[in-house]
This record gives sequence, C-alpha cells and structure tokens, in this order.
Amino acid sequence: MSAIGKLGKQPKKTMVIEPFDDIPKVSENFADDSWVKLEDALNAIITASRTNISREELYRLVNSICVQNLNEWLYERLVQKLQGWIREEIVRLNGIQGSDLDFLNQLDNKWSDFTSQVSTIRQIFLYLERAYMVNQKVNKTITDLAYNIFKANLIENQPVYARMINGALRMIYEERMQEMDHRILLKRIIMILQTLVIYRLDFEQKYIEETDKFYQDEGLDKINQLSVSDYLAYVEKRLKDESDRLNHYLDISTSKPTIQKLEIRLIKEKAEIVIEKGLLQLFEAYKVPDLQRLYVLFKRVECHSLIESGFEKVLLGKGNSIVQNNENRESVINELLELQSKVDVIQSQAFENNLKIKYANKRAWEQFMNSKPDIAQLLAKDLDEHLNKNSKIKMRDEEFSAHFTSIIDLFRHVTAKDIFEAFYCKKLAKRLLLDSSKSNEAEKSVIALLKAECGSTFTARIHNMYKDMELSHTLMESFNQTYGSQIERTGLSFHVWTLTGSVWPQVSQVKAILPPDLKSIQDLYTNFYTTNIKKKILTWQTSMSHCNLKAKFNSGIKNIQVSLHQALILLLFNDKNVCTMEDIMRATGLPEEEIKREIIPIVFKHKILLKNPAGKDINKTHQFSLNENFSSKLMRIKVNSLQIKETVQETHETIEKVLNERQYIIDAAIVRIMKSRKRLTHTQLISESLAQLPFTLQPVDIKKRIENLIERDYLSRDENDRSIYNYVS
Amino acid sequence: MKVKIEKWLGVARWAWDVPDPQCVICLLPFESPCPTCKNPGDDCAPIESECSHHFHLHCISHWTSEGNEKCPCCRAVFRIKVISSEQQFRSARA
Repeated sequence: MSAIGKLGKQPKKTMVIEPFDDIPKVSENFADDSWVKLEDALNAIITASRTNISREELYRLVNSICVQNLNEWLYERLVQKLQGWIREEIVRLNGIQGSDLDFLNQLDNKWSDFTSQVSTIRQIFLYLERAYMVNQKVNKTITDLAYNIFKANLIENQPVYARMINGALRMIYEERMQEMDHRILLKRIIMILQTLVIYRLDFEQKYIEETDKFYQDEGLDKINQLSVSDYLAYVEKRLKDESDRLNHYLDISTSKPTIQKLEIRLIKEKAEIVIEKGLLQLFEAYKVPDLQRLYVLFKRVECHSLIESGFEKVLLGKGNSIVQNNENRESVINELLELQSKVDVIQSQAFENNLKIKYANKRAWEQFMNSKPDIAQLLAKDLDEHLNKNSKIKMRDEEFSAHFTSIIDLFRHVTAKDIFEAFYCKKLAKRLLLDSSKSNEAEKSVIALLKAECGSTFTARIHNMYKDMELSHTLMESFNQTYGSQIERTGLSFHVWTLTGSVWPQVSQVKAILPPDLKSIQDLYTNFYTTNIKKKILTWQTSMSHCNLKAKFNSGIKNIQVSLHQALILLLFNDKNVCTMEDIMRATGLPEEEIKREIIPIVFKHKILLKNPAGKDINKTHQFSLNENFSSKLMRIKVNSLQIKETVQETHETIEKVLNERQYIIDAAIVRIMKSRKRLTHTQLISESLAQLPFTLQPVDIKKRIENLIERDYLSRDENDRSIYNYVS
Repeated sequence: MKVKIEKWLGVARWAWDVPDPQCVICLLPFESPCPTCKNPGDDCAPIESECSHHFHLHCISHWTSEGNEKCPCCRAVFRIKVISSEQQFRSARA
C-alpha cells in the first residue's frame, strides 16, 4: 500500500471516530437502584419464587455496573449476600431432626437445589466473573465463590460438618454389615465432599482408619469362627466388596491405602494362623480351589514364602506317615503315587507352578523318601509287578507308560539309586530267564526312562544283560548246527542262557544232581563251549533253570511248567511210587530248605503230589506220592516255585552287597577330599564327605571307613590334635 | 514213564578260566574290566602269555605300546599265547 502511495497516487481517505467529549452519564444512584433489583432477583432465586424481571435484563444490569468500574463494589455486595444466605442454609441443616439417613437425604436435596441456584446466579453475574473475578487469586468463578463460602460455613458449623462425615461413614458401615444399600446416596454425598475439596482433608483419612478398625475386629472374629476354607472365601468376598465400593463411589486415591489395610488385617496378620490351622486340612480334603484362593491371596501380600514352609511341613508329615507305616508295605508305593499326583495337581492348578514352592516340595520328598531304606526296593518291586507277565495287574498300554513315568518321578527323589539298581537287575534277570516279561517294548521303555534319569552308566549293566541274551541265541544256533540232531533224538528241546558271571546278579549256588540223560546233554554243551571258547569256564545254575513237563494222569496228559529242581523231584516218581523227604534229598542232592521251598507249591497249591501224613509242616520222614487222580481244567499248569518270591534272606544279601560296594565309593570320596585338603578335622571331613556322597548315610558309616583308611595308611591322626586327620601321601 | 521232560531251559554262567586272581598290572580281578573299560565280559578280556601269565588285554597292550618287550612278571620275551573272547569265536565262524 505504501508503495502505491509513494507513486504519487491520491492520499487515502481515512475516517476517525472521535470519542464523546463527555462520558455518557448514568444517574447517580443507578448502581444502588440496580442492586435493589438484583437483590430482589437473588432473593427470588434463593426462595425459588418468580420475579418479573427477565434474566437478560438482570445480566445487562450487572454488565452496566461493571462497565462503570464498580466491579469491586458489586463483588462485595454479592459476597455479602451469598454469605448471609448460605449461613442461614447451614443453620437450617443443623436443625434437621431424625436419623443420619434422613439428614443425609436432606443434605443431598439441599445440595442439588444449591448447585442449581448457584448456576442461575452465575448466569446473571457472568459478566462480573469474566471481567473481574477471573483475575483474582481465589474464587475465580461464581461457583467457586459459592462453594468456598459453603465450605467455610460448613466447617465453622461443627455439628453439621461432623454429622455429615460421620453419617457417611455410618452408612458405609451399614453397607458392610449388609444392613442396607446406600450406594446412590453415598455416591452423591461423596460427590459433595469432593466438590467442596474436603474429601481429602477430613473424610479419606477417617474412612481409612474406620476401615482398618472394622477389619481388625471382624478379621479376628472370623478367623476364630470360620473354618479356613470359609475364611478364605470371606476374605476374597470382602476384598471384592471393598474394591467395588471404591470403584463405585470413592475417590481413586483412596483405593490403594484402603486395600492395603484390608490385606494387612485380613491376610498378612492372619497368614500364620491360616497356614497352621488350615493348610493340612485343605490339603487332606484336596480342596484345590481353596488352595488356589490361598495362594492368590497370599501372593497379594507377598506372604507366599509362608506357603513354602507350610507346604513343606504338610508334605513331610504326609509322606512320613506313608513311608513309616510298617503295617502295610505293599501299599506304600500306591499311596506315594496318589500323594504325588495330588501334589502335582495342586502345584500346577493352585500354586501356579511357583518355583520356590516346587523346591520346597522337592526338599520334602527327598527327606521322607530317604527316611526308610526300603523305598528303593519297593519301587523296583512295583516295576517288576507291572512288567511281569504273571502279575494280576491289568492296565492299558498308555496307563502303563503313565505309571512308569510316575514311578520314575518318585525314584528321582531317592538317593539310594544303587539299591534300586540291584533289585531292579535281580528282578529283570528273573523276568528274562523265565521269559516272564510282559512285553519287550515295555521293558525297553522303562530302561529308556532310567537312562534318561540316571545316565547311561546306570543302565550299562542292564544293557549287558540284554547283550548276553542275544549272544546266547547265537551260541545256541551254532551248538544246534553241530549237535542238533543228537539232541533231537532224545526228544527234548534244549536251550541254554549263557551269562556273563560278573554282570548278572548272584543267585544261590545250590548244585543239583541231574539224571544221566540230562547230565549228558549238559556235558555236551559244556564241552562245546569250552572247546570253542578259550579261557572260559561254565558253571551251571540249576536253580535258575526251567522245564516243561508232560505228565500222564488218570484224567489225561497235562503240560506242567516247573523249575528244574521241581522237575527233578517229579522225575523221581517215575521209578518209585513213594519217596520220603530223605530219599528226595539223596537223589537230587539238594539241601532240605531248597526242597521244601520247591515242593510246597506242588503239594499244597496244585496237589500234584500227595503228602503223608497231611499237614502244613514238612519233615525228613514225611512221604510223598504222585497224585494219579490229579485233574485240572487247564491243559497247561504253571507251578510257580516259591523261589520266584524274594526271600527275606535274599533281600538281605542284595542290600548287603550294595552296602559293601558303597564302602569303596565312600573310601574314594574320603581319599579324594583328603588328597586335596591334606589336613582336616573330623567334623569337617565328615560333613564334606556327606555332601559329596550321593546316598544318605549316617556319620557312623563314614567314621568306620575313616578308621579303616587309617589302618591302611591312607590317613593318619595328627600327633598333637587327635581330632585332626592328615593325608598320607 | 509217567513224567517226561519236554523242554529244558538251562542257565549257565561263565567266568574267565584264569589261575591268577587279578591282573598284576591294574590289580583288579579279572571279573571286572581294566580301569579304562566300563563293561566287564568280552569287551575286556584277559590273555595268557607264552610264559603262562595272565593280564587284561588292554593293560598288557598299554605295557607293550610303551616299548616294553618283556613280560612284566618274569622278564621272558612277551608273546601272546591265548586270547579269549567270544567275539573271536564268532568271527572265526563267520
């Protein structure tokens, strides 16, 4: 524009509006007059009656007053007016009779009237607010002003104030006692408190204290009255109620401290009682949902470490009562399995697989599983019962494999793995040699599980046993190539298991006298073996041998499966009708005990032989004869010798052997420790050895080995201090 | 004959036929393997020397591999007389 001007175009015409010379005047008492009108209007609003002045007119009046710089004057007036009004209102509130509920209801009504009145007033005085009040530090709006005045008066008028706050608390108490539902009213009252900014100041703290006190008392009552499971349900319900309440009408800031109080009073302070009183009970009743509730609640207050120790204690108690039960050893494993499956469910469903609880669980199992030495043996026995063809246990394949897995889970806690191995091998040997294994597949799967659990050195022996079985077959093939026809002529099918002596478990070394025809076959094989294989000698184990017999009775021909020893006894009756015990002993060369064991099932269970005189006991002069009238529905009769069952003595021997083997391991550990440490006190050495050795031991066992090592000059006692050992290099 | 055996499942155990109770090199009995082996039996067999001494095959081969040519027991020139193992038997047949 200016560029155009400079070019010499005509100067632009501008129009200027001059102010009045005199400021327009209003009448002198305009303000006062106006106020009278405004006050009338205010009174009308306050009393909720009608005025004949329109709102617009009122607004203009305010506007006009303000324009004349009478802001402050008008403000003062307004404040005064409101002061007077509100004070009266509060005093009127004080006069309310009746219950807290009535009072609060009226308060609520009054408040809603008050807010709408204030908003009408604000509409009229809006110009004042915008032009003047916004610049003030406080009371920037009419609403603020009115509320602040209300608040100040309320606080001043203690009885009303206290009645309001305590009334609200009382309503909440009634709600808690489930007397009434005041939600809507309370929500509005709390709103008043929040609007007047006295919620934080006077209500919140009191509410929290009240809550704390309430739950302190109630918690104490309930824990004494209710069962633990009910108590937990109660706590859960209370927590839900309170958080509902908080969400519904209390301020968000109140939520955390209130819930904290609740948690402290109801859970943290009662945690120990709950664990002590209820964990065992819940566990025994197998209340998974309750246990889950317990865990979730305890986790809130970080008390789940209490569950750890409590659970460990409960399990220990349970486990020990099963393991130590002397009356029924047969059922121990089943009971343990049951316990284990229960614990598994509780762990995963109730305790969210919490690692620390898992460790506690493991600690407990390890302790009680090793508190009795025969657990390893019982586990091996249980496996045998499930793998043996002759057992009565009927299961589907997948049930079997599940069973094996859980047995291995139990086995994991047992430290006496060597004892288990000894018994397992022993049973396996019997299953293999008597061909009584249920299925090769099942055997293999168990071995695979054991291998996965304990490593391949653990199963090396078992693998060697299987290898021997295969080797025996190849040996037998080449034997048959040479001597097969010769054997066939005797009308007997013959097979030999050739076992590596150091691999297979030892069995009793009784020697039986074989009849000439059998003896010649046996010699044939021995001869074949020793001529073909250098540097090996064969020992025949008649006690492990088995035979199939064909016997002719009056009722017909029967097949009988017996041990070789039993066969030898039965063969005697081909030549003689009656044999005494002494005759049998002489003819078979077997010791009396062995014969008794073999003959008992023949006589008493199957009644193939008759005994004279009858009666359970057997002595040397008793006579036996073949029962010609023997009859049975079955064509094939299986006579189990008692030998299949483990005798007490045998069990004892097996354990003894394992314990003997352990000595070397203990020796090695002690020497290893001393070699690196050179000098150790007795207690140090014992504790280090115990820590290194994989099985549970008594310090006495170690002490014995130390003494033995001193004798053998591996260690020596210190000259000056007899409790110190030195390593002798 | 009233009773007759139809089938006979015999069981026999074999052990090394050696007069010495243990291998003089590793001092372990022959039933157990030499210290480097884990499995007893054919995998770790003893041998007999021409001077009639017995050792684990593995033990004595370690001895000879170190340049020793004499028997550790009698200092006679060392030669193997018999190696015993089933594997040998099987390979001979094959």
